This record gives sequence, C-alpha cells and structure tokens, in this order.
Amino acid sequence: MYIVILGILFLFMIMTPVIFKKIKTAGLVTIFGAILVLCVVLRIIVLTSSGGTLSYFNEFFYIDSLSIVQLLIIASINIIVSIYSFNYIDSEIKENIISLRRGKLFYFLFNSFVLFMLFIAITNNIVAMWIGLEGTTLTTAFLIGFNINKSSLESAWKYVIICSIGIGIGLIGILIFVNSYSNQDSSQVLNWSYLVVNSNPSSIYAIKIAFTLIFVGLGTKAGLAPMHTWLPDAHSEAPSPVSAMMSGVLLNLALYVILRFYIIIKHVPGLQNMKWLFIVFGAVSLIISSFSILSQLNYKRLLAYSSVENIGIIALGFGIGSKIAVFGAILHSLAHAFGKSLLFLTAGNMLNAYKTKRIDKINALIKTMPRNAIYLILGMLVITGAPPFPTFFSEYYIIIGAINNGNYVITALLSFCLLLVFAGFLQVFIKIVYNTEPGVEYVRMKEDKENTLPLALCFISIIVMCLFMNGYLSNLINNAVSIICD
Amino acid sequence: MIEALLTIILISSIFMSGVRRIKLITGGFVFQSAAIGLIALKLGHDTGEIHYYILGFLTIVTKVIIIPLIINKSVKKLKTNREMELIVNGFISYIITGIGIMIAFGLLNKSQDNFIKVGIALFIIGVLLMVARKKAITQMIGFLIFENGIVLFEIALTKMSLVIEAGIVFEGLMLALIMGVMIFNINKTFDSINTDFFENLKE
Repeated sequence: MYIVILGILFLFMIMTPVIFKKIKTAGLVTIFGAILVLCVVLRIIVLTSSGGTLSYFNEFFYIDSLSIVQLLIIASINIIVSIYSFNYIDSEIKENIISLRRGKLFYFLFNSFVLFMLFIAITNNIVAMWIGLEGTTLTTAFLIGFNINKSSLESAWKYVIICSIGIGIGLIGILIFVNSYSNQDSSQVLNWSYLVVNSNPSSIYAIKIAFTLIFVGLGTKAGLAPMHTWLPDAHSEAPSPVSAMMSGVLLNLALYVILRFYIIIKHVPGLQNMKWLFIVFGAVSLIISSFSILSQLNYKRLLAYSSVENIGIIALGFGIGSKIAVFGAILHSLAHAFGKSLLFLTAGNMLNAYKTKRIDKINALIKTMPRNAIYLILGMLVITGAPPFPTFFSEYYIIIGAINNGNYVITALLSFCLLLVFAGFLQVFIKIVYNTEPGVEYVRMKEDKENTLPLALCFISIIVMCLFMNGYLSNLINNAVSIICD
Repeated sequence: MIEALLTIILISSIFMSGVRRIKLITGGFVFQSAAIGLIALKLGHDTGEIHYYILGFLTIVTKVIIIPLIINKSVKKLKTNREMELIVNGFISYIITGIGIMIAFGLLNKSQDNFIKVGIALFIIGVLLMVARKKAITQMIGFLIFENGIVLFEIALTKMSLVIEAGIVFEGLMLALIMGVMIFNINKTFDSINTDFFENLKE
C-alpha cells in the first residue's frame, strides 16, 4: 500500500517538469512531494518501531530497521535539498546561466535520482539493489555535468567511466555470489531475507572472491579510497544541491548495499576475516583523505575529501563490528548526512555570491555574509566532531569499540586522522571567515539573505537528533544494530 | 555451434584491440554482440527456457542495431574516424590481449565453462581499450566490450527473473546513450573528443 503511494507520488513528481510550463510549479511540486514522502516514511517508521519488518509484492520490497535508517536520511535530506534547489534553479535561470529546458531537466533527473535511492533502500532483491545503484549513476552523470563547461564535463566523464567499471565489477561479484547459492530454491535465491537465514553456500572460496569483488566494485561508488579518485572532481563540479545529495546520501547508500551482503556472509563459518576489508579500506580512506584535506585550494574539493574521510570512519565502525562501534557507525552516517549537506549548501551560497571556489579569494565572510558564516562555522564543528553534536558521540563510540576489541593501531590511526582533519578544517575556515586584508572595506552582500532556510533546517535536524538521542533515535538505531550484529 | 560463436567473439575482440579506425572497431563490436545474441538464442532453443530468448533478443536489438547506429552517426558528425596517437600502440596492445587471454584460459584450466573464460578475456580487452586509447568514443566501445563480458557471465552463471534481466540490459543501453550525449557535449566544448584535454582538474 505505502509502496504504491510512493510509486505514484514519484511518477507524478518525475512527470511534473514535462506537464507544467512554469519552472516554479515544478519546484513547488517537488517540495510538496518531498514532504509527502517524509510523511509516508514516518508512517513506516511507526509501523516498524518495535523492530518488526514489512514486506510487499511477494517479498520484492522488504523494510527492516536498517532500511528505515536509510529511508529517514533520504527523505529528510530530500526535503532540505528540494527547498534549496527551488531558489537555486530559479536564480540560475534569472541570471541566464541555464536555460528553462535545462532547469526542467534538473527536476526530472533529480526526482529520478531520489526514486532510485528509495528503491535501493526498500528492495529485497540483491540484483535489484545493483540496478538501483546503476540507476543513480545514470541520473547523476548528467547532474554532475549540468553546467556544461570544460571542468564539469571532464569530471562527469571521469565519473561515468570509473563508476561504471566499478559497478560492473560489482555485478560480476554479485553473479558469482548468486551462483554459489544455486544449490538452493531458485525462486527465492535472489531475496536478501531468504539468504540471510539460509546461508550455506556450495563453495566458500567462491563467496570469498565474490564478496571481495562486490566490496571493491561497489566501494568505488561509496567513495572508499583508493577507488575514490572520481569523487573530489565530481562533488566539486556538480551543482551544490546535487553535491549535498550525493555526498550525504548516495555514499551511505552504496555502503549500505555492501553491508547487506556482509550481513549474509557473516553467518557463513570460515569467513570472519572479511571484516578486515572494511577496516583496511576504511583506514586507507582516512589516511589519504586527511592528508589531502591539508593541501586543498578549493573549498568544495575540501568538503569532498571530508566525505571520503567520513565514509572511512563509517566503514571502520562496521569493520570493528562490536555493538557499540556499529551503533556509532550508523549514528555517524545519520549525522554526517545532515552536517555535510549543511556545509555543501553553505558552500553553494558562497559560490553563488563570490563566483569562485578558491579558498584564497574569499576573506572576512563574517562581515560580507554573516548568516552563512555562522552556518559555515556550525557545520564545520558538526563535521569535525565537536562535543555537543552527534558526530562527537559517534566517533567516540567507534573509538571505544576499537579499544574494547584490542585494535589499538586502528584507534591511534583514527584519533590521529581526526586531529589532522580538525586542524585542516580550522585552518581553512577560520581563514575564510575571519581573515581581513588591510585597507579593504568589507560590506554586507545582498546574497547573504538568500536561501538560508534549508541551512536552518539542516541545523535544526542536527539539534533534534541531539535531543532525541536517548529516546526514539537510539531505539531505531539499536534495532538496526541488532540486524547487523546478531 | 556455440564453440564457433565463442571463437568469433574472441577473434573479434583481438581484432578490436589493435585497430585504429573507429569504423572497424564498431564493426568488430557488431560481430561480437551478434555472436553473443546468437549464443543466447541457441541456448534458449536447446533448453527451451524463455529468459535466454529474451536476453538474446535484447542484446541483438540494442547492441547490434541501436548502439552501432548511434556510434556511426556521431563519428560522421564529429569527423573523427581514426585514433591518431595511441597511449599503447597497436602491436603492444595485441601482445597484452594475447597474454590476457592466455591468463584467463590458464587460470581456469580445470573449469569446463568456456563462457567464463571468454568473459574474463573480454573484461581484460575492454579495460585495455578504456585505458590505452585517447578518443572518448573508443573508451565508450571499451566499456561496451566490458559489458558484453558481463552478459556472458550472466549466461554462464545465473538464471534471473525477466524483469531483473531486462533491467540490466536496459541500463547498459541507457549508459551507452548517456555516454553518446556526453561525447557530443565534450566535442562542442573542447572542439575535440581527445581525452588529452582533460587536464583542468588537478590538485
């Protein structure tokens, strides 16, 4: 029933740019659609709040607490980003940067992108998860190259080539994976909910190869280093709402698909070492990204590298695997989604006002754009894990999990990289916000007042997360943790 | 029959790995895809299972008819029919292809499944074309060869439901279309489809 509602809703939202002539109507419909989607998701959360599951259409769609977390992230970021894109597209069209047709194309692609992401989160079929991921590649490819210029086309081409090879490798892994279960009931063998109970494959060796291929292939999409090379380019060249959506939601979702496979193979005896894939790739992402953050000249690239770093932290949490670390990892993915969206959207406002992505061209933001400067500082504190915010607790939980398991090297590495990132962020953002050049008069820009509502919404969501941590939220995450750990 | 078709696939991919003319590469790709489609149809005829028919039909429609049409059209419009400077020259490409095929068949010496061996060979050749060529069109054909390898894997390993299989093939087609549109845009903004000009994004 709810699935049908969601389907009809998205069909309508995707068609709106074609039906309506005015771009504002399409934007408004997208916003209202996003609010309705959040209502449906909240209703589903209430239905499964006691740790139950829902399944529709002969178990093709299957919703448990783990998918609920993803649904919550997708639905809430979707609202924030669609409010932002309403003003963004409107002003781009007014300034004649893009034509009306491209504005419509934006809404078409954006809504299909969200549809594919929702599809990944609620489907039960493991190949359909892959199809959803490939669908996000298809839709985001044009969104990255949206402002047709040299650098955006370059990054889009790089993204398509690297991600389609990666996702192809992932499909090979999935095919081998399914094949090694072919000794079982063939009508059910693609269903995750069936595989997770009946996990006795015909060959453990094949499963090892398959999971490694899946991890490396889909890890490309998740942005784990060393397969992350497309990510800084794509996230820095895409329009800011798309960057926020990709970095906050899509990276999580690719990791979620890997996690689904990991949960299946965890029950197979003799495959305990597979957790080291998460730990090693997570640690490599942390090291590479934290050192890259120190040497960036472009603030959107800096934020993109920070996404790699945060995905590394989340992967580490899943790899450590004790309950508290997994709790931390899921909490971190939630908090990171909001914090990174906040930062990317603020960066979008800065880009809109200054028309440059270079760090050294922007000074004294507190005088020229005071509102955005405050959100920038707050977002920076959220992302680097300063104490009152949820990211502090999630990183703390992951460190505790690592110490409890005796992974002292990982603990040291994680703490060191977090410090490095904190230093790198402080250095850049303090310079952007407070640095004043002598003899220059700074006046408040009129762009400061535009488009700050989504930033406020992001920050309010983070505050709400802090306040509800001990009630609904921890209950929700605990249910998800019990799916991963048991 | 199937062995002969697999041989056609291998020979066409070896041929494609060293040629410079984009028309010839496209021709090789058409032969290869037709052979894969025929294999699926033959298997459908032998086993009587309908999903082989669907796979074969979809492969032939998309990869023998639609995608080559797109490629030929864009080659005519872009007036580029040759790879001028190769990153890895033709002779060395042939050698790498040969070594790749030897590795694929050597590693899976014990396996009776020829589909998987040819599939792995196609992965190697596809990735070689994507890495060692400069023109965006050749890189796209490299990706399509890679995808043909995936289709062979699909034939060899699993039987999925119709919707899923159609989804996989359909997304392959969409990706090729998107790459085609991007090549047009790249040509418009860079006045060339050489990926040499991709040097704006560096640290």
